[in-house]
Amino acid sequence: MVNALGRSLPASWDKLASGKCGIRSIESFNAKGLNCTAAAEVNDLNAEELNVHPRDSRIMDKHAYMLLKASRESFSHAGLDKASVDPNNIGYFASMGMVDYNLEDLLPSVLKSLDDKGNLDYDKFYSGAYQEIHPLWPLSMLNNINFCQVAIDLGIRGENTTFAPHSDSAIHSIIEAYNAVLEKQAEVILAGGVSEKVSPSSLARASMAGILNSNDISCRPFGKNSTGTMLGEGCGIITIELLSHAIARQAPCLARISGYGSSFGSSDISNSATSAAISLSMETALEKAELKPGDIDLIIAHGDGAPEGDANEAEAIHNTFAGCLNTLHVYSSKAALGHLLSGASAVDVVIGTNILINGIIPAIFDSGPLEDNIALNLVRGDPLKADPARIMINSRSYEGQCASLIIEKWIDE
Amino acid sequence: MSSKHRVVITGLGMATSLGTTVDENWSKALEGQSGIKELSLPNTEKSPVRAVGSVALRDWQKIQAAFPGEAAQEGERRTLFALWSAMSALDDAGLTKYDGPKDRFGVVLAAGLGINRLEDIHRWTNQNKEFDLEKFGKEYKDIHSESLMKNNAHRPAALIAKKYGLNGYNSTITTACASATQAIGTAYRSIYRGDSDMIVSGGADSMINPVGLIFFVLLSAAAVSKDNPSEICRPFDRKRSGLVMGEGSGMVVLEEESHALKRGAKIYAEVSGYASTMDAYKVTAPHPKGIGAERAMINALKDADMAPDEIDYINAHGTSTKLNDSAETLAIKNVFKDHARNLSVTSSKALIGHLLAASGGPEFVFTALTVNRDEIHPTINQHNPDPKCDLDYVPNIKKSAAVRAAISNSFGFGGQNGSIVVKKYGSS
Repeated sequence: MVNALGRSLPASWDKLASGKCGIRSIESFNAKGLNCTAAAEVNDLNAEELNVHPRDSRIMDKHAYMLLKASRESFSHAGLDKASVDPNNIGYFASMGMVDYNLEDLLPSVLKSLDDKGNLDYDKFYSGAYQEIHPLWPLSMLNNINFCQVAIDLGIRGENTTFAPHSDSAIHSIIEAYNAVLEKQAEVILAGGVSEKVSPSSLARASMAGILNSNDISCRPFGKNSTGTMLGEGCGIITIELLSHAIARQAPCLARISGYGSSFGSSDISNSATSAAISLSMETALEKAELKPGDIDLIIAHGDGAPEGDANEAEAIHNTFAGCLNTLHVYSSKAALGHLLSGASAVDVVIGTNILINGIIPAIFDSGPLEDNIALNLVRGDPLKADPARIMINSRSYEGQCASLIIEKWIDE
Repeated sequence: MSSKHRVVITGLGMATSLGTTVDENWSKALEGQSGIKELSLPNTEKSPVRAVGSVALRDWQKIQAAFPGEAAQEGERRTLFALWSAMSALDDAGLTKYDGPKDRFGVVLAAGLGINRLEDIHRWTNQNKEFDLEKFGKEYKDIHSESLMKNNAHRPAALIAKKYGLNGYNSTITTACASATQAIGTAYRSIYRGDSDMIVSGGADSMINPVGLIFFVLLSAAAVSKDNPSEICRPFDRKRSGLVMGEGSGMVVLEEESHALKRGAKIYAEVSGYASTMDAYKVTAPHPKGIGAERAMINALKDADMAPDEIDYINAHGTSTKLNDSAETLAIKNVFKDHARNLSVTSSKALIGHLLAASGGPEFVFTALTVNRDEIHPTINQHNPDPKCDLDYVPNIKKSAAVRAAISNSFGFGGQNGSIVVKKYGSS
């Protein structure tokens, strides 16, 4: 896992559990002219440190380095660097964001296409000015290319796909990976997702989607009068395999996937997922896991601070978990890590796994007063030593796509 | 796995340079008629790319008229193509007015990427000829509707689900040119394992726009010949010189067999296997021996529990690039051994161009029709045999032959591959 609090799983988990927040003023570019000037950025991740050849780094950007770092970490954590699993039997599924970061990449060709009056002249563009664009620029616009680079780095040749571009996509990656392992289409699969780089275009995109908090620099899940979310950067990758396969190669068993659900439903007001859709994905996951609502100890909510979405998620949890809300804890990582979009629920699955292992639920960072009518048992103030056994992770897009995943504590039998 | 379901194709829809109905596309494809024409966008007289498979203006106007609200709000080709084909496929499957439960009725799509416009970059440039973030901050909302900033990849899937009230699984796949085949394969798996009853799946894309035109020129993958436009795309021909872009969409309704039978749906064919692989070779070129392609076909056959000699037809990726067509041919020969000589292998791209992320959509529709009707559209523009491409590509003239089962291939930039098996419905 990589996020604003740390560039490895242990480093970021320790800071998250001790109540740190990664949201700060944006450092990677001058965001003064934009309506949101803070984010949870990952700093100091570069090609040199990751030992990436300059030939490859030309088409890599921060999201590629985060994906590479987290995928390598998961690969080695699972002992795959020392194992003799056939590369054709290793799969890779990940969620990727939209990667149109560097608008200025087209600038040299625009300048060379201007006529005497400074107007854009397409004859000049097509007659040669377009060659000012780097010949590999098209690859940097394709969001699957860096995924393929990491596959080359790790030697992965099996089942794969990339979903895009929001939080539901990372759970969808894990669902497809889980089923491919069950169906024996691959022996081991890396799955998860990576955020976009925080850039002028990603902020503009989030702003146009109406989800960005432009009033202050905080993300307050279910918070009173919250107006939106803050973007964050990061990546979460897990390694999935059949228990028998993991035991045979003496790999560590960290948690068990037991259920999942997907759904769609978008509100007419903001395109947020509806309460009914969120409930449908949660209830499908419970059914798949053969669990009752009362069996779930913790929900890692999508809870991103966007008002309509949070209200709908709270309502959905109230409805689906009616009667067991007292024993159900609810956590959101976004107050500390920002919203990682395509990486968000992947990071939440890694956090959930750590909660199962350590028996500690981090507190939602400084979340302030809650919106009225929120009767959820949110973990606030101090981390909670609760030893949950079953966790549901919720995710959704800003167009109405929803997905939920249930993971359970691994008990060595 | 506890439950395994058979998956059948119950609806088809498409919009390409050949037309906006499946019948129109299919009859022209059988005749070997190309939809690739001289580029006619304004201000593109000097474009190095001269040939494109663009959707005819009258067809585009028909599509806009069918979705007036979305046309006004989105104004975007890819999204409207997606809506059109989804509507056509749902209509074909008798589902546009379906009032049964829709919680297990989903959408899995491939959608292409939007590209920024030079005009936008130009107006965000300051007097010092630098990109001006403050200008950008003030004006980004006016950005062109087809840029990624305004139009995320998953919007078409959301609009289709919203329009038809489909509350089930909804996702979008972005694996470059393998996207639509991987989307249909993912949809197939969701139904096969019992998670969904019906899924609208396929792809939509358009990159026939000012910067899109030079996208593949920069990568040295585009055909820039000045020959007759309809003859430039010549997959497997020795004089092939690169891909020719098309645009549009192709979608299907996949359905769980008993669900389809219960509602008396017409069944075109059965989807019986799918697999994806990665080359892990180079992001700029396919593996010269097509090892990823070979394993995709082998694993898809294994998934279908079928032997290579049960396949009669392959709808090839066949991009008309030097590298792909010889590597794909070699991969087919390695998978099918002696039976490769008996196969009919055609590329739809010579007819409709390369629909990029969406390419596997219309090609899957053609594959389903081939299996359903025992007719094989030709690979046109075959005049100069290439010793490295020595299979039966059904040159220039269609063929009628029994097709028990077929494979549709798609291979994406970066090295992601997908192969999907379609067989006659009712066969064992």
